Amino acid sequence: MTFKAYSPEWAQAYKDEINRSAVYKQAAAGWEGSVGLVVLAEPDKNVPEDLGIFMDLWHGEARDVRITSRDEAEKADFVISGPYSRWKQVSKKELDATKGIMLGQLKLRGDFPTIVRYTKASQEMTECTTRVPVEWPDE
Amino acid sequence: MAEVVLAEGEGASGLASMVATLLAQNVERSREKFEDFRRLSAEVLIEVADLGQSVTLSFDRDRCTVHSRSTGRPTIALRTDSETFMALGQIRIGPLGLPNYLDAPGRAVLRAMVSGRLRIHGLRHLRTLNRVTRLFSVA
Repeated sequence: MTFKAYSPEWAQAYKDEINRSAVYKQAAAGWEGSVGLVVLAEPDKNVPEDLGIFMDLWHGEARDVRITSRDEAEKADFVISGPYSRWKQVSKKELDATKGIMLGQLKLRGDFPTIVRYTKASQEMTECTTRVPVEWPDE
Repeated sequence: MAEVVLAEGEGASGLASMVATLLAQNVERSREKFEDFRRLSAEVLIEVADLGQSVTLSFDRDRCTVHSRSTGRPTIALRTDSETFMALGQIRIGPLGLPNYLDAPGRAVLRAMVSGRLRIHGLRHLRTLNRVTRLFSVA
């Protein structure tokens, strides 16, 4: 079953995938804080407006993952933003999110020492997106 | 008060922005790191090969200027890949303020040195290297 990218059903599947991951559970065991992912619009790729994904993450568990407005996602403790096509690359394993941040292709806002401490957890979090079958708006 | 500035301002690379933010936040939250920061007078080059990016940190007492390129005559030069670069931040600081290379994160860094994934030039400036290691440690 495939899910429309960034639909509520996709968000639920992503949350389930995170909660199925033993790697994430262990790597994020001490994690406390929300993460907002901001997908910047690319109208030529059928993404006409910015959107957000708000993730309530707590001690290795995804308590909530929901599609929100960009503004709502930016209220999270940690915010990663980038254009739609970059996020699609991340989901297709064509771009490692950490490398994307280091290259300036994705922007991170929040406490960097915490992010560095939880590199493995954030890598697994993005790895989980690659396991959710997606129907992309520009394909 | 410690000041970390980007030489290229808004035009700084992703790696330079990340390094500068990590350094500033680490120094801000720890008096020991602040003292290390103030005692440093050195140029540190970090080359991340798989990203094709370099940054030079010019420490000058209360100020560090982060350049998005290789510049000057570095006291210490680290050549590595992005994964090992992130692992460097995981090094724990042990007794007497010395980096702990005996636990798992420390051994991972030693393995990277042995395999050539991490090359350090300027090892004779051990005190400076230890200070820089402490400054970037998030463990």
